[in-house]
Amino acid sequence: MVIEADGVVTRFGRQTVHDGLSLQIRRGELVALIGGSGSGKSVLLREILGLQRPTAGSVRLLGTDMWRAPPAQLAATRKRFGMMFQEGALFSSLDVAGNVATPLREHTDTPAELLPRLVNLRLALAGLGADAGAKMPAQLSGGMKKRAALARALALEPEVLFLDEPTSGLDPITARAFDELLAFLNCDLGLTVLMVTHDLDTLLSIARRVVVLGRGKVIADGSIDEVLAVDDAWIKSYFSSRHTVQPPPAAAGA
Amino acid sequence: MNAIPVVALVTFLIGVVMAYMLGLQAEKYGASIFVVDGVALGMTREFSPLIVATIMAGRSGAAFTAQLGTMKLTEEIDAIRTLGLDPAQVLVLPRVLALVLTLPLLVFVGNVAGIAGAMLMASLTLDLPAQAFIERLLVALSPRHYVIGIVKAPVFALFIAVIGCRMGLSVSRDTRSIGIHTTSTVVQGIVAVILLDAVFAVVLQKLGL
Repeated sequence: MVIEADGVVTRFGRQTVHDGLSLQIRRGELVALIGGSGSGKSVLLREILGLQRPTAGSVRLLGTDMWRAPPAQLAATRKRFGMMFQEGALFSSLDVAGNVATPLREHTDTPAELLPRLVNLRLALAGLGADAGAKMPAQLSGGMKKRAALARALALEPEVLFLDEPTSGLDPITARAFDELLAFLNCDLGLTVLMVTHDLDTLLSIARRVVVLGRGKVIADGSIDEVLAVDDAWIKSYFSSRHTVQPPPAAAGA
Repeated sequence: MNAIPVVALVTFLIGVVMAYMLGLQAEKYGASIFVVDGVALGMTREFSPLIVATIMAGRSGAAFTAQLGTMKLTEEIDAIRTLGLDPAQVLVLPRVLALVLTLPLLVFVGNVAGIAGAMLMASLTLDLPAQAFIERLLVALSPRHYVIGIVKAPVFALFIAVIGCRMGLSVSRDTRSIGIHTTSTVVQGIVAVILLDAVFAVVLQKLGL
């Protein structure tokens, strides 16, 4: 198991976000996490990443309990996953190349003269030219920011990739290109991908497994067809927000 | 440092006012020359550190809060933490160090500008030429008061920077919160500086300095 959430309870004051939520994700899966606003998708993601402490229950990422493991084990685990934040969260004081180089500098002994080449490889993987490296985050368009953030998330060749709304705010063409990129990373490079998304097109085209959060729990989990078969008002209205829901391509079943 | 012009201007004007006020009193007793003593003591020990720290609480303290608050909002701080870095180490420490190192230098700038202001005023209204002013200054300017003024600076800086960073990191995830926290930083910073200055005054008094 790459990700294991067991009996997670999260409360903010009186509000209960997760109420005994459990979720397992295996190596090589591409999972989309959906749910209404306030259903705790992003909170769950933050708990898996070790940014937020669940009120109760445990979260294990790559076998490491992100809240109980000793610092050395945490540091070792942090090298093995990458996270792409919604607005990119690029370090505003560093240029794009500096951003991508930061994880390499902090977690590896890469010689300084090799860094630019590694950085360019990551940029190319995320679909950015080498010329983007010299730009500051403030100079980038929304799509380029996301690509730069993806390049940074991929810097250490992680086993697991987390994405928070990877296609939000992108035009449909860029968004579909992003989907293809994620599918490539998942299928060809074998990354386990967990993303929070609202984008139906992303779900239908690349997500092989969809997890729906609601009422503090997982209310549906499986392929699009399996999720559609669940009798839940939110799921019904979510998928009927688009008129033509087509089944996912046959190639996606594995 | 972009703060030099504003620090120099404000302390220069304070020097002008101080010389004028002290001159009005001292002239009655024909003791205009002692204006130099008053300015040298007041400026280096009290006014320059206090005024420079107040300016920096408004400038740097507010800037730290706004910077870190925005970084919180854009999830930059979360990104730092997911990379296994400590925001306190990469964001707070450099800012605290920078202010602790630069504030004493700015207080020096303030001392020079303040005394220059007083010198200008003295030569214009008190019939005290610059040369006489400087001669008296060399006698009146005691290293003790000067050092006390400079020593206060890093302490003020530490509090201003820590308040600014702490308020920045405690910004919640909405834009309004940045404004509220920035305001709070400036108020807390200025109050802290004045309180610390009072503590310094009492403690130094007890120590007989």
